[in-house]
Amino acid sequence: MEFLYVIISLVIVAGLLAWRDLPIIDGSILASGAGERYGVRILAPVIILAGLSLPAILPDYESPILSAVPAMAKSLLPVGIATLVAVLTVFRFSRFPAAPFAFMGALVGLGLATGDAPGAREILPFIYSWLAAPLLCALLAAGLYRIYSLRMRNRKTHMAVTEGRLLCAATLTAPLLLASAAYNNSSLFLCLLNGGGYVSTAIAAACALIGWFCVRNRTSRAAWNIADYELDTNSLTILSLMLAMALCFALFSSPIPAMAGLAATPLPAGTLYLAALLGISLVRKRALADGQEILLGAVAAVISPVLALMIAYCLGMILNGGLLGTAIVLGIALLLSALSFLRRRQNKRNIRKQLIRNRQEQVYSTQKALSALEVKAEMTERDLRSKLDLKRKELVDFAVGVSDQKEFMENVYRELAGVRAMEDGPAKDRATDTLLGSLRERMYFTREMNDFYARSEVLNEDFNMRLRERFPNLTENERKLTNLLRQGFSSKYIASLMNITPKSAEINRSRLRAKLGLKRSDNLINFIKAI
Amino acid sequence: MGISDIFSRKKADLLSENIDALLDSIDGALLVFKGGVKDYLYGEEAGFAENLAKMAALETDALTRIREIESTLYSRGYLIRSRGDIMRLLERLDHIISIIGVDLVQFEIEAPNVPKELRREFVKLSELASLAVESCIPGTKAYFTEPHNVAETTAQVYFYDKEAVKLSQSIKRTVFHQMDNLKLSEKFHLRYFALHIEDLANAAVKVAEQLSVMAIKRAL
Repeated sequence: MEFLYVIISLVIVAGLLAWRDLPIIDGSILASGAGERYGVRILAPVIILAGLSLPAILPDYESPILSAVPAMAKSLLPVGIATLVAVLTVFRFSRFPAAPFAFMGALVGLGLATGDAPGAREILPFIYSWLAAPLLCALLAAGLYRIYSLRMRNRKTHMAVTEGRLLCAATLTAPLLLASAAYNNSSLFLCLLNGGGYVSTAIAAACALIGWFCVRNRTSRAAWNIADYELDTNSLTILSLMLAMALCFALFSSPIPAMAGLAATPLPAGTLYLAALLGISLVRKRALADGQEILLGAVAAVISPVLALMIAYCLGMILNGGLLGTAIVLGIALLLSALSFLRRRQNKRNIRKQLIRNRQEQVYSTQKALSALEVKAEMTERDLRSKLDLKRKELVDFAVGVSDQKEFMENVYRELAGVRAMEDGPAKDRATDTLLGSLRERMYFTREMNDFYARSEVLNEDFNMRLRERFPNLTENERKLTNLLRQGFSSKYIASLMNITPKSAEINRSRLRAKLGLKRSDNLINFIKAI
Repeated sequence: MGISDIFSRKKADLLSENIDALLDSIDGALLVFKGGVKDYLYGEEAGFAENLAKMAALETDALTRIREIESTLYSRGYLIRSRGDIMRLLERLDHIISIIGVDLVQFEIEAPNVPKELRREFVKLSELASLAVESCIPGTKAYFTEPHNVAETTAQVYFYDKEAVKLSQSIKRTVFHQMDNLKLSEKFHLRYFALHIEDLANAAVKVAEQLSVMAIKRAL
């Protein structure tokens, strides 16, 4: 059973490293072109295994945090769980959740719960190292880039030769990066197995392989994503980045930092990667990474260990503490869970309310649009109906007019025939005069004119109503004149339509102006149209 | 690939040699093209036939070089960041070589009837188009050694292309507006040849554009 706890913790740590840290290293190697070399691709797993096995052969570096691992195997489970929870939480806002830092934080948290934690004096060098490592990586990357670019500045070397050299350097750097990263992070596995030794190393390697197989496809996709999109830059940048990371991993796995008051420590590849990109960006004066991402990466490197420490401490209290401690921790955990649950429920409720509101608004706007359409259709129908009525009336009038005309012509014909048959001269003259009179009357087409005015009245119903309201003292003839002027008839036509002379039409017009109260400068037609 | 290949400069040297040789072939092909057009226009049949033979040899040589460059580029990890761009540049250069070859062969097959008055214009047009392509060659070399100098050569390419287009239009205008003695089919034929020679300058512009983009990408 204890063995199972160890294995679970190992798989969690291996899985996290393979999930987040390996794609960064693999992506850099792929971007440099070294990843396409058969030698590198075939040797990569062997190099990683060798890196993990090195502590078994070489003396492992001393680490008060890593050596403060609890003796009871079941105590390791909280470390794994705390690391996992912390990494997953931090991953919500940063792609680089700094798993090794979280692991170390979890170990300290568990130590605090059990009373085996190293003192602040021993922990401080680690915190300094966690700050110094990214800084050093940025400086190294920037320095390497600067040195090589200065060296190449005034040389007209062919691109094929330059790129060949860089590829050669990347091919040599790739195994170094893989080995140093594996060696640096191997301490995480070995501390879970309580020290070095071949058996422990083999178990660590097996767990790393299991972790790798678990997330292989995802890792590969992420690595290609980094190579194709994030590191779509020149070969020198990628080489500088790889070399700086490799040197940092190697340096912080050796006893050298201890000489400067720091400590050898496992490092997250993501944090180093962001630091190197930042360093090169500063030298090139061109951003190679998103500033917000770098900032969130730095925040993640701080929050990960703190969060893991808190979680591991709580779990440690539950496992090793007394009844009171367990109750307090459980109470806090329950309270936090309840708060989280309530917040989530509230969020869900808010979202649901928002959704309902949105739907209601949609329904309301649809209904509004529908009623607008209905009103429009109704108005169109009414308009069409009135037009149809008008046309029908016109047709009937036309038919009546035709029959009326025919009847009149027949009468004229009969009367003319009668006049011709008359022999008495004066009687013939009288009959002719009567006939001419009726023809003249017909020529004035009084009835048609009345029809015209009636129709005009119907068509301009609103206008006539407004005219009557505003100018009640206008005579019938003046109202007719106003209608004709509104329709754009000239004085000549108006005279003809009203059976008056053009001069009379002009006089009527000036009278109308006076009745409407217009000045000399006012335009009569514009005034009428504005009514 | 042996472990010693990691340190070998053989591939880099081979690539730079092949690129230089390809550019030399294009340069040679341009000389042959200009000579061939002149020989055809002035009725030097023997010289024209010789130029055709030379052109075929140069074309084959250029194609072999392109294939060798491609095979080097396809080898694992080599020039991984600029491989695609170089391939595209090779395609464009290949297009230029094929235009040169096809144009000369078409003169031989179709034997267009070029009036005496237009001979000088056609010679001038072929020279301008060739100058546009020639201006690409130092640009291409600069891309591999000093990419910041690429921009200087592209301006020349644009200038010669513009001049070639202007002359080609002038030839077409003369053919259609002033040469009533020519049949419509002959006019079309002449227009077609002017257009084909003008195409060479257009292909050079495409190479120049590609080089400009590549130079910018190298600076990123």
